[in-house]
Order: sequence, then structure tokens, then C-alpha cells
Amino acid sequence: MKRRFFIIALMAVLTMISAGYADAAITSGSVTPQTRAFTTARVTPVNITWSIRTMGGLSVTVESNTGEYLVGGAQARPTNVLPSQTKTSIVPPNAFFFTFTETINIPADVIRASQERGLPLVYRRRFSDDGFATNQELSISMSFTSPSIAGPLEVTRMRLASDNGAPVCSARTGDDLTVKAFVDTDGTGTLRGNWQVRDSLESGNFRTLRTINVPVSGGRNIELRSPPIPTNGTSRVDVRLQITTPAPTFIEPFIACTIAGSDTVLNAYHPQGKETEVVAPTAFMPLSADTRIEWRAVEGTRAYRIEILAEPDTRPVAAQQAKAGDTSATLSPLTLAKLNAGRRYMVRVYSE
Amino acid sequence: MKKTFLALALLMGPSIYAPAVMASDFVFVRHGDPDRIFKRDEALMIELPPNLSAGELGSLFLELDGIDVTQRITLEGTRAVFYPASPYTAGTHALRLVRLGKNGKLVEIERWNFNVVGGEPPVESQSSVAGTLDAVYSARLWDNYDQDATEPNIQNLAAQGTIDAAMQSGDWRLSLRGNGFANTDSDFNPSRDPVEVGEYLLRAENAGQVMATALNLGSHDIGASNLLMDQFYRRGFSGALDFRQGRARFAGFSQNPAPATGNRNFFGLSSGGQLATGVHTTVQPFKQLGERLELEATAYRGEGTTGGTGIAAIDTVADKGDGYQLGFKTHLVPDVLGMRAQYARADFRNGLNTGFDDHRDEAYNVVFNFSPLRTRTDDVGRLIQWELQPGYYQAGSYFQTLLNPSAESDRQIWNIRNALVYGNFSLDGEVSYIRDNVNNIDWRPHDRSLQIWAQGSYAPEREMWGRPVFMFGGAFSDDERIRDAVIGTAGAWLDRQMWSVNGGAVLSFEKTTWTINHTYTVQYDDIDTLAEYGMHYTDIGLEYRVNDRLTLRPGLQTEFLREDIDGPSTAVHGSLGVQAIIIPDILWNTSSLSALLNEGDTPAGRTFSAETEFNWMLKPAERNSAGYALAFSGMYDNVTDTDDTTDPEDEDLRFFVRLKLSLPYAVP
Repeated sequence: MKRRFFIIALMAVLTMISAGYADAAITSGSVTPQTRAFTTARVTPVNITWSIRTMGGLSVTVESNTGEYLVGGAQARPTNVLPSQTKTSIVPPNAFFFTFTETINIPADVIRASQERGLPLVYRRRFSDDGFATNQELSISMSFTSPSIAGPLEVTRMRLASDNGAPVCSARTGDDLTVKAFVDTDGTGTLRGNWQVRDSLESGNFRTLRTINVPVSGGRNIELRSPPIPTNGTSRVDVRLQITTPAPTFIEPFIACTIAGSDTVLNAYHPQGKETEVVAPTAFMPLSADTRIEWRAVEGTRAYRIEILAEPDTRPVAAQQAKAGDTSATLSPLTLAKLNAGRRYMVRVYSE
Repeated sequence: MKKTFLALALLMGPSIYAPAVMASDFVFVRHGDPDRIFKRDEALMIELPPNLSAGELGSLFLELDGIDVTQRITLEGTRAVFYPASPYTAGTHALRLVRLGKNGKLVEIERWNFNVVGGEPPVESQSSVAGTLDAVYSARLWDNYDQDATEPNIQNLAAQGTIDAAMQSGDWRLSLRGNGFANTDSDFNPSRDPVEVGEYLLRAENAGQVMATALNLGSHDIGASNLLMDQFYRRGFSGALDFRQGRARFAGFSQNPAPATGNRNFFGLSSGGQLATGVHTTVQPFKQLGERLELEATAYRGEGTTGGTGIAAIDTVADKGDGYQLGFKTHLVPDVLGMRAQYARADFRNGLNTGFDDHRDEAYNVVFNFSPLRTRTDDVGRLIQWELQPGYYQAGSYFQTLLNPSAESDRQIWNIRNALVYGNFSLDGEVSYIRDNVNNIDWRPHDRSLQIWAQGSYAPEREMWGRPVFMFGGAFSDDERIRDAVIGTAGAWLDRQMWSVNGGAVLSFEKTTWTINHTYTVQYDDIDTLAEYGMHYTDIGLEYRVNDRLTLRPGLQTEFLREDIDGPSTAVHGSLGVQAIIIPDILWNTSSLSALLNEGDTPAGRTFSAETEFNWMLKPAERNSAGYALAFSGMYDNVTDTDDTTDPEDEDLRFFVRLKLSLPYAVP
């Protein structure tokens, strides 16, 4: 009995070894999804998973040298090579051991060719074993749907930018900072998502500042503005718009913002001119339309600039000029309009 | 026209008809050229209206770049003149004329921008370099990482910097500005390199008497905004000639269509064949008409992708294309009626191979700008402004341009925009009728969408509890298929409506500011009834300034969704921001909490995060002298995702110690 089992086992191992050293034939394969809808006049990303079944062996390699777009059965365009995969362990026969994933963007001209000629569009790949002894062709049928206005809401593209359009942004500590998201959509529905920030890089996590809920219709390109981004506690902050509905087919980008000055008190503001001594008001005096600001005269000055600051060494929240011969002034209605009741301010005077 | 104005004024009420100073009565003197470059020490002059009374003159204020300069204005004949005490810095400056109304409110009458070439602070110097370097060294003291998990490095050094430099010699000026990032963990940088340039711009300018010249290398936008080229802020090179007397501006550009960051595609001039090269020009052909008639033209040729950021793409096939744009702007009736018309044609070819024909498509755009009441203020200082913008836009089904990433193709749009401001009341809105399948492709249906939206706000002039500002609005869309595809099937028929109404208020008290907004959205679909839904969304925000040392910013957003396909669900996001000064200028704390429950399409998904940081200031930063602070921080994340069957709950707890440095530098 033992001897019979040993012979059978030996034969099995030899069979597998011989299969490994010979070509491991591909027996079948499958692809997910088998059909995919796409829209016109726009690059459409499609996520594809190819699964390949082989005869098995000790060392099996499967590769696909190229994919191709077929319009009406004729090759419209070859595309990229998938990295080959090799399994060095014994591969049980008829098991799905090879999974290839890729994301393709259907070129706009291929879409146009399909539409204008009224011919079906297919994306096809040929998979081979390492000896090219056996092949397996798999393909996806690209079904056309009416774009833009019809259909449920889809997000087809998103880019983030600062106010000047840059893909990174910069601000000073305490600035009012927002970024914009340009979102291209198809269809109609409600766009839901979260504006998120990451200001502790080493923690790696984004936290939600605010959720958004925006009705979108007619497949328009929309522009969304973020809530105010915190600029007080960090020198760099990353911002992104995480879209939860509809689920995007891409990873949301983030925009990195440099904040000059680690913290409010670390921030340095460089006012022009030479600071002069403020005689009045003294500490803890209320500022009002009747408050008289007085300062020491500076010889040779051409004008004085009165600055009202909320924090030391930061940009003034309000400023006004006075004539060279003056050594006092009251706060103008323009200056007062920029101040908040109940808040503490500092007064500086500079000669220009 | 005067009769029309009178009729509208009577309809709007007596306060509009009352005599008042109008914005167009004040003229910012630019010596015959609306685009002229001002000298660094040039006086600013405003021509005052001849009928201006002493009382009205006394109610006017002039603000330059946010500084009230009224006290330094001198009256010279019919002009108000401002002599700068120190030279202007280079760039665009804003001059604002403001009026104090009888009710004590300030109203902007007019705003003018003017440009100055040469000089950058400190202006006493012929050259300067300034900026800030910031660095944070962080060490993780404790964490709850699994042993098998991929951990970030325990120590991390992150740095970022900005630079702003300028050098002046005669009429020439050379400037550089930019920013950059460094991180020992390159995954945290935008392009995943350890050291990266963010954006930068090297610019050379010459301010000649006859012509101004500018050369740019780096991230910039040449300023064109039209069908073919818009919001094209990209790396590359451009040069511009500005003929002051000839009222013409020519710009040539060579820029990378992809929005590059980091060190790759550093110059943006050539990377994998991606490059767009072209010209843009504007001309005011008749001197006597001045800016009442301006012609514009743009042309380009290039190859690249308009994919933008955010799309995972392995297929790098690029599109080749070229195109041109022609247009004109005219002020038919100054301050009342203007018009802009454009035509653009774009050609596209295959980037790589195969024998498809070249593709050509076109776009048109006509917009009228009608201000029936001009811009004016009434006798109590209320600003009155009403703009109507009827327009038509058409872009072919295949209209694409590498220079306008937000261009909408396959659209016919008839629309009218409204913008009304009457004192503290404002109302914006738009009605649009949209059709697609512009090229009448047989395999496609014809769909249309009617879209209406309006948003208003009102701040009562009378002193009220909470000094409220009320906001309200609504939107409606109706999508319908008007013709099926001639060949084949185009999928399900289309008949869908969406309504949305919103209302809210901002309330300001001595220590608190409340923001409350509620939106209700409902979608009906006569074809696909499972797509129907209704949604209530409430957004509440509060800033509570407890005292000089403590500020709290709690927020709450709730979303109640009723879907025919999944039934009702409720999502909630609560947040709290804390800023606490423990020892003034020495020790302070910033903290944030965020709880996101029943997020998105996964009812059971939830995220809870908390961060806190205590900062101990060891030395404040000063110019050319580094400041440093010590910080202790902690973060906690708890994410539950029922879609993730292998790890449905993820909990992170980490504590850090950080050393922060900041160096604001300036030479000289």
C-alpha cells in the first residue's frame, strides 16, 4: 500500500515538474467588467481586472505584450504592455492564480471613430504563457451611453487650485485661505463629499473640516470653494475634496499649501518705515471715534502711518495715513469699520 | 435711454430717483491711457464731479491698498491729488473711493486698479531677497501600530520655504518668487520627491516709455480669458510687449499643458513632447474710441493632455491640436451696455498613430452686459447696481483645447444672468436652456436641460438682535430627451426634475458669531423612479470668543436622505476647533475634534478624529533671526468601514514631540 502510494505521489510530482519546466498552458480567463459604459469627447478612465487560469506547474509566467482598441473588429490603436507575472511555487491546475489590474483611458479619437462610423468598440488583450505556446484573448465591450445631461451624476475629473490657478498654494499665518475645486460632471444628482485637511504630515491622516452637499444638474463643470483653511497652527497644510457620492473613479488629489510662519507669534511682518513712539492711547484704553492717537514727531518724515494690529508682528487689520506735520489723529470711519467690538488691538505708528 | 432710466428709477422707488453722486462722475486720471504703467512716485489724481457739494466732499474717503490716505489728499482745482510718501511697490495697486452715508454706513463708490513696474520692498534698495523658511522636526513618542503594519518613520523632518527676490537697474527689473517643500518621507510631498519646487516664477520686466516688456519663466498665466484659453496657469515661458501709445499688447507663450508640480517638467518647456505654443494679442484700434472697442486674437499649436490632477492614468497618449480664437469687446453705451463676441476653432489629431482623420470643431460665444441703472449710490449711501447678462454659447461635440481645462464641449446654452445690489439687499440668479449633441450625431439622442437658480441676501439696516444677515435661494432643473438617436439605442428615456431651496442667517453677537443654513433637495424621475430622492441638509457653525485667551469653533452638519432605492439614512458631521492661550505669547494650544457618522453610501461608516497640540515658545522669530518652539501633540483616529471586510475598524493613537523653527529672512 505504502509502495503504491509512493509511486503515485512520485508520478504526480514528476508530472507537475514536467509541467513546470514545459510551458504552463493557459486554460481560460475572465475579465471584470465585461462591459463598460463610456461618454463622448472626453478621456474616460476604466478600471479592469483580468484573471488567468493555467495548467499549473513549478514556475509559471503569464504576460500580455499589448492591449488594443478595436473599432468594428479592426485595430484602432495598440496600447501599453502589462508587466508579466511569474509564480515560482507549484500552481495548482485550473486555479485563478494570475490577476492583472489596469486603468485605461479610452482615447478621445478612438471614441470618435466608434461613434462616427457606428461601429462597436472593444478593448482586447492577449495573454500568453512564457513560451507563447498558448494564448488567451479577453475583451471588454464598451457600450455607449448618452453623456452629459442624461444619466445619474458622475464625476469625471477634478482638479484643485489656489486662487491664482496654481496646483500648490502659499499663504501667510493668519491669512484667510481657501482653495477651489474644479469638478467636471455628467448627469444630474447631488454631489456629496468632505473638505478635508492634513496639517500633521507625520500622522498621515486627513480630517474633515466640513461636509458638502451640492445639487448638480445637466452635466456641468462646477467650481467649489473650500471653507476657510486653518493657517494658525502649522507651516504646511494639505487640502483635498473627498467625494463620497458619486464614488469617483480616481484618487482625489490634494493641494499642498505653505504657510509662512509656524505660528502667529512666530510670524514676522516687516512694516515699511521707521516705528515711532506712541504717546496715546496707553494700555487698555478703548478705541473709538473719539480716541486720539498721539505720537512723537520724527524729523524729515514725509508722512505717518497708523497701524492697528490684532496680534504682535502680524499684518495690520487697519491702517491710515497722517500728514508729516501731524503728531495726532483720530481713527477714521474706514479704520473703525474694520475693527470688531470687544476685541483687543495694538497701535503702532511709523514714519515714511 | 434717459426715458428708460427714468421709468426704471420710478419703478424702483423714490430713493433711487433722488439725486446722488454716481461712480461714473469720478474719473481716475491716467493721462490718456487706461492701461498705463504708473511711475513709482507718481501722484494719483481723481477728477471730481463739478456739482460736488462741500458736504458730499467731506463724506468721501480714499483708500490705497487698504490704507486710508484721506488725510493726505490735497485739492488742486477740480482734482483730488495724492502724493505718495514712499515709492509704490511693483505690481497692481487698488485705489478705492468710499462714501460715508447718512446712516453711518460705508459704501464703495468706485475702485480703480493701476500697475507699477519696478521696485519691491525694501524700496530703498536696488535689490532684495525676502521670504520665510520653516521646519518641523517630529519624533513619535508612542503609537499603537500593529507590528505587522507598515509604519511611517519614527522621526520626520519637514521643511518648506518661500522666496521673493527682486533686482532693479534702470528700467529693468528682475524678480523671482516661489515656494518649495522638503520631507524625509517623500510620500508627503505633492510629487513624492524628498525635495520639491512648488511653484516659481522668474520674471524680467522693462518699463520703457514707448513699450513695456515682460519675460516670464515658470508657473504663470499670461492673462488670456476666452473660449480657447482660460485659467491656463502652467509652467513654461512667455514674453509680452505692451505698446502704450498703440494700445496693443502681444504675448507669446510656450507652456506645458499638464499642471506640473515638483521637480519634473521643471521648466515646462518640453516633457514627453507635451508643449503648447501660441500667441495672444489685444488691440484697441481706434484711439478716439479708446477701450470702447478692443479686438482680441489667440492661436496655438501643441500636444499634451488636459487630464489635470486626480485621474489615475497609465495611458499617456497625448492629443495633438491647434486652434485660434477671434473676438471683440465693445462698450456700446459706456457704463450701461457692453458686448463681447468670440469665435474659436480647434483642430485635433491623434497623438500617436492610426489613420483617423483630423478633427475640427468650433465654439461661439456672445454676451451682452446691460447695467440699466449704472452704478450709483443714493443719498443715504446705498449702493445701487443691477447687471443683466444675456448670452449664447455653443461648442461642438468634439471641441477641445489644451489651453482651457474647464471648457465645456457639446453644448448650446442660451442664458441670462442677473446681479442686483440695492443697499444691503442682493440677488443673483441665472436662467439657462442647454442642449447637447450639437453635431447631430446619429448615434446619440438630443437631450435638453432647463436650469434656474437664484441666491439672495439681506442685512436689515435697522439695528436688530444679532445684526442678522439673511440668505435664501433656490434652484430648479428639468432634464428631458427631446429626440432619440436615429441609429441604435441611446439607453433609457430621460425625464427628470430636481428642486432645491435653501435659507439661513448669520448672527453676530459680542462674543459669538452663528452661521445657520438649511437646504432641501428633491429629485423626481419619471423614467427611473429608483433614482428619486429627497434630502435635508443643515449646516450650523459657531465662533465663540470666550475671552481674549479662548476661542471655540464648533460646527454641525446633518444630512437626512430619503432614497427610494435604499430607504432613509442620516449622516452627521460634528466638529470643534479650539484655540487657547495659556500663557500669553509663551504657551498655547490648538485642538480639533471631528466626528463623521453614517458617511456617504455606507450607512455604517463612521470616522472620529481628534488632534491637539501644545506649543511652548522658546524664542520668537525676528527678521534674519530664527525663532523656535517646542510642541507636544497627539492624534486619535477611529475609522469604521463595513465595506472593508478584512479590517472593518481601524484605530490609530499617536503622540509626538516637535521642534519648530521659523526664519523670516530679508536681505538687505
